[in-house]
Amino acid sequence: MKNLMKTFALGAAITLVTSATAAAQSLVIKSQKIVTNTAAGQIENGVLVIEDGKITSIDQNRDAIGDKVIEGKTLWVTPGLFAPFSNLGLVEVGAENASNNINAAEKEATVRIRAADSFNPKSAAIAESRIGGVIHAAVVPDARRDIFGGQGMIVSTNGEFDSTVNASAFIFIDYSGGSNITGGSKGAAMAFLRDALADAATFGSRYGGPDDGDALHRADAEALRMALGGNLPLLIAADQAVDMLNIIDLKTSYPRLDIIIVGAAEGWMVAEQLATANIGVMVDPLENLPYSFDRLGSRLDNVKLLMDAGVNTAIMSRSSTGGTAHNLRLAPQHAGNAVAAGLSWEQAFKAITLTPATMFGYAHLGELEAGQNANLVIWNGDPLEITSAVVAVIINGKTQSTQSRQTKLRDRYNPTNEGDKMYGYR
Amino acid sequence: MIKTNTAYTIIAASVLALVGFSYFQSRNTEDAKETAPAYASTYVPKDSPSVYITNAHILDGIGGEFAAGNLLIVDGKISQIGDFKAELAQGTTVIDAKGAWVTPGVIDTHSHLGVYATPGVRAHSDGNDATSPITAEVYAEHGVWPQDPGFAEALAGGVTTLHVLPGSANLFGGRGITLRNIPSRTVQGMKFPDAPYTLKMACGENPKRVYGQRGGPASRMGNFAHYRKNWIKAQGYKDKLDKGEITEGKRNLQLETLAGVLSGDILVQMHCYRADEMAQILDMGKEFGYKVSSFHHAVEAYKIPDLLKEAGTCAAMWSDWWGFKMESYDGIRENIPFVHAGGACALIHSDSANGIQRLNQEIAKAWAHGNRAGLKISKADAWKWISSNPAKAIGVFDTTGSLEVGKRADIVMWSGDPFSTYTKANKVYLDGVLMFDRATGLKPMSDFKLGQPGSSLAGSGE
Repeated sequence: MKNLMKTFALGAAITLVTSATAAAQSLVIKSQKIVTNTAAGQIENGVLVIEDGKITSIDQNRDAIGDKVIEGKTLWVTPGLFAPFSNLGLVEVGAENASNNINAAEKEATVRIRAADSFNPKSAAIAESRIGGVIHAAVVPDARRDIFGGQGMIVSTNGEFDSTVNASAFIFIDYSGGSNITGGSKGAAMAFLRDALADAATFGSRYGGPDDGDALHRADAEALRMALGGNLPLLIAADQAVDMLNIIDLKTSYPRLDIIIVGAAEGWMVAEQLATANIGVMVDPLENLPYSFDRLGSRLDNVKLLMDAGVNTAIMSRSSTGGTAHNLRLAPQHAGNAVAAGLSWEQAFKAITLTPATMFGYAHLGELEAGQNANLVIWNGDPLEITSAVVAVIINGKTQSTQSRQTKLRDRYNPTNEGDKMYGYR
Repeated sequence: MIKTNTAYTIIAASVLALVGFSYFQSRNTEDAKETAPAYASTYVPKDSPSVYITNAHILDGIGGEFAAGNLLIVDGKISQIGDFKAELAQGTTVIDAKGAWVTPGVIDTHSHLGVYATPGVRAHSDGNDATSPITAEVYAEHGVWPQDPGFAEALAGGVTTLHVLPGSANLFGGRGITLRNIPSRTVQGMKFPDAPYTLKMACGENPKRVYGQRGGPASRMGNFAHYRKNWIKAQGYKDKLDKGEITEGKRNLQLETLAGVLSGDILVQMHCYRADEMAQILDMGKEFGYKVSSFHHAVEAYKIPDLLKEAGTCAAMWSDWWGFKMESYDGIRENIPFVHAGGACALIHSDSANGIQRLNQEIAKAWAHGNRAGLKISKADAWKWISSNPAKAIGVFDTTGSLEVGKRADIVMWSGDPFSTYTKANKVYLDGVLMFDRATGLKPMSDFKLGQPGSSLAGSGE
């Protein structure tokens, strides 16, 4: 218990007042700052009240009382982080194939594969993400057999079996890997993609049997149909400028496609075209090296140039090791570095909260507003500062545990531990 | 660490100091005339004016801190540091730091810049000679591409010295090389003068995964048997070396490197994650009488700081990588500070062309997590993880890794507190020469980046 309290009471005085040990009905959070991500903006010395899991007020009433009070001079309260691009819950240990459900090399099925059927809410990386402030994530099945990875999902990181928010939330296409995984050239990948879209568009008349498509098996074409009307976003991974222009061109034939480009390393070169076509992007603001010939134009201010041109831009953490599952908790570092590259704090913070939430149709998960279920994180300082820490996490009104495998390993091996118990008994 | 009971090592010590790396070339101990050393460093810093930095928040890299201090650089070396009023020579550049943080340059002991250069095309895959689990005969420097764009970005992150080594496919990967982070047409122009050679070794999963179906090793037991068999061969070769029996034409490059470890001239840098494996490796060091200079990655070092301290072995770690392999499953964010608090030599490393650009942020994360766990580590002490401790781990602490009188003026001036996401390196000096200046756009650009999209200096986004 001693170490638990140490980690909770973080420097600045944080007091936790409870009147009963039973589950609290109302929680009052008295902060230094509340970041709402709405028109209400940031509220200095804000007070947020939660009753029965719902936010009932956000104001500056320091006299608010409740069953439980969390108070501290340096506390920030924000919407939870929303990872726009992850393999969270699909993998335990990356190098161990048996524990890795990120992609399927052998199976013929593509678009109809759902990440939801591979997702494990008990995955170790989920607790680490949660206590790092990431409370929702888009989970992506990667492509392996051809450019289609399958249907992705939206989850919360509560680690329970009810953590699925949307089991079929978008379809993932890896166009950047196209020349490797579909035919050996970008031309082959684009021909395949156009054939696949045509299969989906003419589904009713084309398919008498399962193999009547030009590119897709019937069941895959049926799944792809969901994206044609724009109800289901198409996440398309692409980095090279010309590839993005070719993807924009798809909207000429299929104007209602809701396309989001993942990567967009050279997005700054075609930012105006992306903005005009109303295509959003997910970028990693730390990517600044010519990792491949597709990404020769990588630059640190890509994210700023895109936002300045009006492109809807979310920030992802893919370039960090583990940045798609084990280290989603580094999102604030990626966003903070984008501030150093020229974004405003608000722009950067929205890019890891409201923008990705909205891209998938869940704007309320990226905002703090009275009337909504409480989905928020309490920090002991500016969340984009790498020296800040998460104090508390609330998902869908429920306060979450701040323990994980790693906090337990930390506690067992903490050199400030007194006592002479053998390690195995700690 | 040099044993002193043979004529060979006495001569080697002085030859090493003068000509660098090729003392093995003139093995005839009666021959006083030295042959020209091969692959010698040609690094010579440019002449530069003296620099006087005043009113700076200085971390000296060995635990000292001056809230408002001064620093005088003369002839590329630290001449004075702390509270003093300087008598300045004509032509000295005077910089009022106005409270800016000034630190020793960042040292990264685990980089594959140059050998796994960007663009990451197949032709640039020079980090592992994965043809055999024993390749102690290869030298990373023979695969370094000085035009890797990553070097300049590392400089912009404050990196002044870096150690490039082979990857971890092999049990004995080959010799690493310590480099000055300076643009150069040749590797020799980057080589850190008089730096000792290192030997990259690897334990655990990688070698047995790579060679399990190709003749072995196929298990951790196999890893160990291979190490020990080769150390025994090295002992035999060292005996012959000591007796002067290895003349030209009888050199065995593989055993030459291994014998160098046994004589203490070559510093072992060993990729190893698990606590129990590190403990076994330390015992093997006792079996054959050599020291492990530094474990790398050492994801479980926090479980054995006492063993590391006792052995005098450093641990080069990440702040938060975990879960990509079974041996990294138990990674925690307090690894570096727990090792430090346990009295052992703790340092940060990148193993990443991206991570090397922000090592100050990596130690900031580790520092914050350690203090939240109840440790009370100062920023001045934490800066050891990125300067003096890495310098010690690769054997260059005598000339760099801290701001001390007489040492190389490898210095970074930051835009703010370097323990912050928002801070950038503003000025970077190598041997007192200004190599990077954010305000004026002074920054090298590799040949590869010339003419590429976005590469114009104005539009590079820095």
